[in-house]
Amino acid sequence: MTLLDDESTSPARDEDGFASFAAAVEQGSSRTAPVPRPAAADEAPAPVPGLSAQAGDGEVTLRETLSRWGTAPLAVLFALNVVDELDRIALTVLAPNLRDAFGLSTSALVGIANLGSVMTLVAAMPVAVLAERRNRARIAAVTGVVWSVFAALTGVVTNAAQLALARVGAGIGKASVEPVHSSLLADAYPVAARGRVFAAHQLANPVAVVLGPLLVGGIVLALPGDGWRAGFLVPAALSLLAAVAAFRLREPARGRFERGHADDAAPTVDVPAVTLAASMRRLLQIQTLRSMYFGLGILGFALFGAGSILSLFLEQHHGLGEGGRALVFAVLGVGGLVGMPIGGTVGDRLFRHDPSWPLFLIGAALPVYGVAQAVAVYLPGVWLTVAALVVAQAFVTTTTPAFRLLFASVTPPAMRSVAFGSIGIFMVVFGGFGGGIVFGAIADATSEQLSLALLGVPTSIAGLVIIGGARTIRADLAAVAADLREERLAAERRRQPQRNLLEIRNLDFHYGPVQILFDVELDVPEGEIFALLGTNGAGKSTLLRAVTGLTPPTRGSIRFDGIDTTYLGAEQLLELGIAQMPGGKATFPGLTVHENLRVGAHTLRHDPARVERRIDEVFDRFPRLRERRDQLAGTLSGGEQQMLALGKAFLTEPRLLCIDELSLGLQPSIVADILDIVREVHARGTTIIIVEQSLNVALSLATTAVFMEKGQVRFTGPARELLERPDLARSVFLDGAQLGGGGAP
Amino acid sequence: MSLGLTDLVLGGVAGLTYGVLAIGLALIYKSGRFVNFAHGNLGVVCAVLFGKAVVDWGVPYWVALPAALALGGALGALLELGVVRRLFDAPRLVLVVATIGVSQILLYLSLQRFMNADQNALREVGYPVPFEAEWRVGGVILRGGEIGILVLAPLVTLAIAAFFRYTSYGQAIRAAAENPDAARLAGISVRRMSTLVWVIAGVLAAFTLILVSTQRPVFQVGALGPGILVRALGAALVGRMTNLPVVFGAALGIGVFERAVLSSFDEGGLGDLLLFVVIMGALALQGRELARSTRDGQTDVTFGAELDTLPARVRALPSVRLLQRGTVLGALALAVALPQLPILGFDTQGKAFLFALTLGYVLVGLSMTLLVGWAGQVSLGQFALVGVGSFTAARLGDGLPLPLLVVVVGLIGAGVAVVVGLPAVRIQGLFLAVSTLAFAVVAKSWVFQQPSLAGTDSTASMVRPALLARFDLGDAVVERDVYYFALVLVVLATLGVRNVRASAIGRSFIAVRDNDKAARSDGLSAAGTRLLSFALSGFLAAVAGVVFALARVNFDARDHDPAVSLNMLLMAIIGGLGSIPGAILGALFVYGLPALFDTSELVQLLTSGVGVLVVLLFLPGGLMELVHRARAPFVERAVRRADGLPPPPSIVPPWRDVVAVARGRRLDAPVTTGGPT
Repeated sequence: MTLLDDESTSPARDEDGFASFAAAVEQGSSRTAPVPRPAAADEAPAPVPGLSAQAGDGEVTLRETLSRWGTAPLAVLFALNVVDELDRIALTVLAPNLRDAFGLSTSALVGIANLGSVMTLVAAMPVAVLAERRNRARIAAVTGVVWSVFAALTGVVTNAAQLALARVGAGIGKASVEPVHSSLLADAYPVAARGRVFAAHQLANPVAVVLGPLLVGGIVLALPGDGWRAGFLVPAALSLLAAVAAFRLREPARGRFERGHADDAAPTVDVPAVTLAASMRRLLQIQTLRSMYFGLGILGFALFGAGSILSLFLEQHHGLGEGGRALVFAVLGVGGLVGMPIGGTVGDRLFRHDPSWPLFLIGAALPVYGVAQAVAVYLPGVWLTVAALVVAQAFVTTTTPAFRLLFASVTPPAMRSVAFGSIGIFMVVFGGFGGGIVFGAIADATSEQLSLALLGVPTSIAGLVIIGGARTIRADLAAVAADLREERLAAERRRQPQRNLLEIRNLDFHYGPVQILFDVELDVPEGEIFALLGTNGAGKSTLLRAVTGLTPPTRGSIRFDGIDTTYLGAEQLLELGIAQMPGGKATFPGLTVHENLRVGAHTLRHDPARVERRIDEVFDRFPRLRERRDQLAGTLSGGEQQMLALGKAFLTEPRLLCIDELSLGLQPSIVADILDIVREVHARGTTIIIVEQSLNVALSLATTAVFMEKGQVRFTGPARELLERPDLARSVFLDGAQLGGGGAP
Repeated sequence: MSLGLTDLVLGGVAGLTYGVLAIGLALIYKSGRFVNFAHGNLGVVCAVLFGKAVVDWGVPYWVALPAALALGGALGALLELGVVRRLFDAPRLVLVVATIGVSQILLYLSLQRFMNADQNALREVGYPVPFEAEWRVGGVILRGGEIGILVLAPLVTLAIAAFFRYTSYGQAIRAAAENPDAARLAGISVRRMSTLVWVIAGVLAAFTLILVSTQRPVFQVGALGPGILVRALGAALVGRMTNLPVVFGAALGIGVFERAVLSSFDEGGLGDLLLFVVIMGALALQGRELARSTRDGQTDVTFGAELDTLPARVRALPSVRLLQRGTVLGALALAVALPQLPILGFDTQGKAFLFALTLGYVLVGLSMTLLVGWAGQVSLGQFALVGVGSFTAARLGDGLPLPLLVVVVGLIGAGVAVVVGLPAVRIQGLFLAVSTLAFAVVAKSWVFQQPSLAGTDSTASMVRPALLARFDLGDAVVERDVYYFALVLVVLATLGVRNVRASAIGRSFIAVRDNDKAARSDGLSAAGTRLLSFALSGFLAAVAGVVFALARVNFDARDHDPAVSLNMLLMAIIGGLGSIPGAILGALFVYGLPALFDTSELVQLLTSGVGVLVVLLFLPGGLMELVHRARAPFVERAVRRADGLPPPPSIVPPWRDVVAVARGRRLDAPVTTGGPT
């Protein structure tokens, strides 16, 4: 693929980065119509939507960014994040108090604490799904309140069961940090400063690690007796303040900086929410994201058990007590305090220069972390060890903002919450559990030292895997840009007087490694009958399945009545008015005719009277079906089955009806009957796309013919004109003549 | 054989419990076309907690019951969302194996002390029953537990049947199961329906096990093993897995029949034997019908594309050949050196013993690859065939020289495998699983108890034959000799299996698996091909049995529990079905890893239960997928070089430039990205 040439990086500087957006658009469109470019273009950095990458620009400082776009979002979210972390620290620091107060064993207490963490992990995905649909600022505020309440409960509980309950609630409340905060920050601040913004937000962790023990310890010292409860109540109170402030945050439009209109314009159309499964499928198609998730999984494998093994090492090798170890961990936080801002600043600079370069920052920092840790555990003396560990910590922390910067840039803005929310799942579930067991076993079998030193192996592999993303990041960014361009063009088209009911753009479909559809474009105006013609294996049915949501495409977009339906499922599309009659097997053979129709009216099930009325109408139209009302559908003849299928399609009164293989295996007299019914449906205002093997049948119905070959659209035009193109029409005829002799289905 | 009222009632109670279990299995089968092996253990977890709630915490029965049922539903939903849904498009066999993995995790959970009620208290008050009542029927006194089963089990079954028949959700579930695409096009969320079915099945499992647990004198969860499962499966099979009334009726019949047999002959294991006969009979009689139903659904064992093998041209490239040969030779060298290495105690007797067993499992893995991977027949009784090998080896070991012993025992194993497989010969896929599972159960409870096989004390002793003494490596550790002998067998078996795959036999296995109609029209005998696959796989399994016998010396039926047979399937899937290196990797992962690291039973359970889930969810092609992924860049490079293409451009920028940019310098011209242009 070709990359941006130098002229496209327009010298005209604009606030919202629109020039580079437009350039990105060029870039995206170059996939459909390759433009010859100078050879040197291959070396130019890829355009990043929303990032003005002109060579002459000065760097925008974080201070400037904050004063231009407001300090409030970052400050409030940081405050929420830092109290979350403080609470976690408090749980560790106050463990002895909790143990004594409730007569718990250490392992029970650890179990309760882990319960909270697991809840955070589990709740992250539901919260992320919610965040894709609702106001994120509001979700951050509400979860902040929830968290505060449960964290405060931790301070007032009277027994172990209540403690567990409080931790579960607090865990759920905390679940919003990654999916909601990160996604919100990505839209609150421009692309050029994202690394530093994420760094500032994530600084909460090292800040809490360093200051938390002092703060909590201070509270306990100041208030003896039941004073430890204040250790939980104080963060909760602070959090409540922050949460109240969060209610005043404004919800930024998703992807506003990538879109190029930084004014807070609301999205042009209301996009129905894509299901979690569909989002995940879509996200995992982004190669760079895949390699980052995979790398994070391996990293999780290395990091999950590292803390407890390190603790054991410090105890056994350096003879540190509980207090000493706590001190060491607090000192390690200093490494984080150093690494985080470096990661943000350097990440931003590298990203500005070339969007793939932050991957190298991560890819280098992870092995260095491994080496530094390996060196640390073999150094003599506790202080040298701790110093080397601080260095290691600093390096691994630089990756934190870099990861988020890259996550935000390669994912479609509408799916960022899910993308961020699944980080934890990949790290812990994919790698963490296995890693904990393996390195624990190594530590048991040999020594904690060797086990910690060996952690460098998976971190290095993770680094390599993540660097692998550099191959694909340009294409992935271009895809984000292309989607945004298409969204914009679609909005413009909506303002034209002549509207299309269905618009398909740049549609690719892969079945495994095999590509079926290539860059399909199709406009279907309302009220038409489109015939989709072509040889076997041309991709007609696949295209239809993509339109009706049975199988999502790999790339491109499908819009129905202006709504982006690319990744919606069939069951959602039915509600919008898209129905399909699948060829040959549209009925449920083990259900009776009546049950078939009731199932067909599933979406109307809350209005039983209406269902029966509609079914009666179908029976009026097909008296034969009424006779067979209680017969199993599997025992009907082929023609009757097609009638039943059509009848089901009637029930919901679709706006767009897709028919696959209407006449397949039917005798001609029945075909004629069924054609009449299709015409009747059309007369009632339904737009129809019909896939047909029989050219006669197709052309007797259709106003417009689309001819497909080898996954591409070769011809679109009035049906009559197709007949004048013997080169195209003949292949259809011939294919019809030698039935079953064609290529793969 | 007489059938009194007493037998009828007691048999009915047992039959009803099998029936409710079978309904649960059939439910999942209806919606997803696979057998859910976690069904029983899901219920066990709820039943255990329910017992704890009532006995330890004093929660009233009718308060704890809804909570336990809700827990069952929640676990069902969790399972569906976390595992089943992830594997929505996977081959059904993968799902079966995933549920076996889940089942092991649940079993582990239910054995934890904190989950269980205080055993003494439980013994005193008994497992909670729904009614405090006593009915006298014939010669027996029915107490609350039995009454609960007699009353509640039919009610629940009726309620479920009515739900599916009459409600719109019930119809939607049936529609989604029959034709998922059409159901989605009717606006039914197939995934949501699947979750709903799992919730129902989870509630049902909890309910069943809470009722069943009243029938145990001392509460013991381990007892709900494959024995009950195979009865439920047998009943489900009679009803072709989908016809709920027939399934329920068959379960009742099995219960009564078994009771009648037990009261007539007083011998443990005889019930299992008769059940085995019943299942074989049902399969033989119903074979044609079952075959039709599976073919319509295109369901049971469909495999994804076989793991990608390299084209011959690529394999012939010198560097690729070097890589492959190097890997094989390196692995061999490591295998030879392993028990001599003085690290982690590898050179001790105990480790040599474990390593020898691991090689035995490798042999079983190869037999599974042949049978399941290539012939497409699922065996859940492979370790019973191994047991046949072990016991016959112990019986014959005295008189025969070792190489001859291996061959003879192998042939016996082949014969037994053919007999067990005979009824299933007309049917593809999962139905062999049922007959082999029944065989595994009866092998443990009856066959391996026979004095003629196992001696009077039910323990077989292997006399290690002379070959090992004569070719003694001068080693004090006999186990190490066994290891090397097993290694030779593994190498021979690997070569043999490889040749089978490359020959007409291997091709016919796959042809019959993929399309037996087309294979038959090409002149292949489908039945003959299947029997041959049973025979070859049985041969290998029995040979593995010789290795186990040599390593263990003393063993009995308990070493050949049906649960181990389930593990054999897990192992094959984890490695990567259909691939020879995959079979070896799977065995090394499941049994070799725990042998390497001196770890507890816990880790062994985790390497099978959790391991299988992780592998299936993230590497549907098993560990071999990982190997292929790792190999891909190397192969690509080799091919490019062979084609005279430049190596793929490096993506790594000069580090000087990166550092310069990182320090805030701005590079005027875009820096080079390294590769030639």
